[in-house]
Amino acid sequence: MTSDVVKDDHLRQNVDFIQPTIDLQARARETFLKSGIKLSLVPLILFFILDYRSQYYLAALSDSLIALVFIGVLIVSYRVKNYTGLYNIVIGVMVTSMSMRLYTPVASRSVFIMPVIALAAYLLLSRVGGVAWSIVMCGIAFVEVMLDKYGFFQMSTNYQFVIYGIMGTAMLSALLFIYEGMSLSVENQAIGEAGQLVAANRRLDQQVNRNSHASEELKQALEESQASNKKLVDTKRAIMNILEDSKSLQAQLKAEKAGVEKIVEVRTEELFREQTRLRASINSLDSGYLMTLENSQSVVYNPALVKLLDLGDSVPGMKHVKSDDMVKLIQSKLGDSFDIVGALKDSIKNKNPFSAVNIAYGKKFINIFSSPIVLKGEEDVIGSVIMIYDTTEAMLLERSKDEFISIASHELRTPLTVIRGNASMLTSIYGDQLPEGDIKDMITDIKDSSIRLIGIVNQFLSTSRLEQKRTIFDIKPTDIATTISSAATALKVLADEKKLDLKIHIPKDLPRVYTDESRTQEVVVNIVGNAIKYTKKGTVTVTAHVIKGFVEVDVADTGIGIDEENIKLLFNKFQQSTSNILTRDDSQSTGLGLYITKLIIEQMGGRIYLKESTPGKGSVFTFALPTEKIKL
Amino acid sequence: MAIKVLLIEDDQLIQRMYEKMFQFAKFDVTLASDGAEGLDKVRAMDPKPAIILLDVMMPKMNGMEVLDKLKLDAELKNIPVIMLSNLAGENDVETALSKGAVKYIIKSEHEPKEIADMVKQIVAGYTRDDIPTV
Repeated sequence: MTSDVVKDDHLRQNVDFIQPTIDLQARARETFLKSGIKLSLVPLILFFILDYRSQYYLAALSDSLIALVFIGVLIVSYRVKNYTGLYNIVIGVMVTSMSMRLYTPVASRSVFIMPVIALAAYLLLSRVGGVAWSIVMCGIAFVEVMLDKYGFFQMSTNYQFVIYGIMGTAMLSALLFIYEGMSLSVENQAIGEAGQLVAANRRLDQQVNRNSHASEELKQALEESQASNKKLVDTKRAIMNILEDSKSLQAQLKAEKAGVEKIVEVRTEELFREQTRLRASINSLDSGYLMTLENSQSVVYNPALVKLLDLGDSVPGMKHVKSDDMVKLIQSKLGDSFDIVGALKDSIKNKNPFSAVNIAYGKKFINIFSSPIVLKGEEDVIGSVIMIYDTTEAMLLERSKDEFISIASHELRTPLTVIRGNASMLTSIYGDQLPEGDIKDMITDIKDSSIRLIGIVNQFLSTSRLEQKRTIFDIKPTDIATTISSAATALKVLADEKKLDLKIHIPKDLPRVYTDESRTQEVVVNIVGNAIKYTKKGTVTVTAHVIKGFVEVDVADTGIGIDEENIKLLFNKFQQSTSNILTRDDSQSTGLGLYITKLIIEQMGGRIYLKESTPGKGSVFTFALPTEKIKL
Repeated sequence: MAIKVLLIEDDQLIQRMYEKMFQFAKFDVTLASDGAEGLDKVRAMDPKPAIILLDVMMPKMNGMEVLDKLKLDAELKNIPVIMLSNLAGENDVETALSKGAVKYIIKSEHEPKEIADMVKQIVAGYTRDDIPTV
């Protein structure tokens, strides 16, 4: 809107400036019109008078028509604002028509010359052409006057009158053109100035247009700016709202933070209490406790660990010991007794606990157990918990117990050896000197009893060692058929004594079993021996077959069988075929045989069980040994 | 020619029993009642015994120590030694055999005659690998 007002102001100022020039131009045109009419009508009127006096009435009529045409042309010129060309044409035509009326040879020349000059003036379309034409016309008339004066050409009075009229007309025309030129000059100047003004105005308009365009752009920019501003205002308002909300939220957060801090404080207190209780519990342990953490600067351990491992001054302080340093310190104390560094490394890598028992540590014996720490829901091991127990006393006690049994067995065997040996020598060396009958039988009973007693002592010793897992097994691939056959050789004697049929049916293509051959023979002797012992008549059959990585050996008899209530007690210590420990059968056994057999089989990776039994009909005992090596 | 046997045994009853058996088997028996006496006697004997029967649990010097000293003595180390004991632990057997004993006999498990037969076998030239060690 503002730019439009400015533009209008400019236009108005320009119009005011141009207006006087436009008025001047209009006046010049009016002058030209009036003067032209007056000055042009003069010769025509003269011609009319002349023609009329000469009684050339037709010519006079022609002159009148020409005068009218001339006036019309002037009026049209005035209207269309173009004077020069048309005016010259009219003048030329008019003069030509007048010359054609002369009928003289001289005048006839002018008939051909004047139209050409008029045409030239028309082509030039300028005031110069008009002036030149008038001068030429004047010159011709002057020449004809001169020719007449000096006798070359005699003009009539009328003709002279015409010539002078032409000359006067030409002169007046020249003056008219000069005047017109002046007027036109003023007009042209005004037009030029007006043109300049128009051009200036056009430039101004262009400038205004540009300004207007710029203004439009400015307006558009302004509108955009206003829109942006509005947006900014809206944004500001939104920000203010957000700030308000933020303040509210901040207050809420502050309140929540305070609540959380309170909870954290409470939890921290609880954790501290829990940690204190845990620490107290750890510190109160008799056993050494050590918790290592991966990449940790500290470890958790208790005083018992320091005391047990005699770490003493080696530990620089609770807060300054790194996990690795602590483990290395313990390793240095352990020496070659146990590779705790390697064991921990494997344990963490495989995420498996490890244990090592009865490790010699100076004059002590220790057990080490360790378990990797894996956080719930995570896979990485973050450390290990290590427990170290002092087993020195237990070891000494165990050793004492073992030594006691060993010494006791030794001390028991020694007199028994003497009894057995002497009884044996009595019958073997001095037998022929002894009287037949009771004395010999008594000596034999002494010998048999001593042998039985030695057997009992041996069973006690075996039981003790098996229970303590101190029995050494030489496990290697063994042909079970050969093992059973070797054991059966001695058993055949027993079976024959009782007139029992001992059948051994072992397939030759059985796979080898991983077992200790001598211990397996002991098992076969015990089981088959029991079968013979508890079978009064019939057969004892030994068979074998493969089943799921094991060779199972079945020992079936046609003996007394076992009551169902006694089956579950069968492999217990001191258990015989009867349920009451005070009620013994007539086998004169200790009740340790099956117990020892079970321990032997299981410690070799096998299994033993009563497959079936029917009282009065017999039993089937089965033991199985692995065909693959088993980690025990 | 009678087999010259040195029996180192602290138990008098057992000593007497084996002495009778070995005499019956026509062995030339020398007796010692503890380890130290046995070591002294074997060093003094000339000619040296063909075999030594050595108890383990004895006063003054036990059988294992005697065995060590025998095997360290260039003059005595080639005399075959049978350990004769009622200690029946696997460790005892293993230890004795590792120290160079040719056999470990649990006395209660064998009658005197069986032991005399084993002595004859060993002295007769059976190598250690040819006979059961226990």
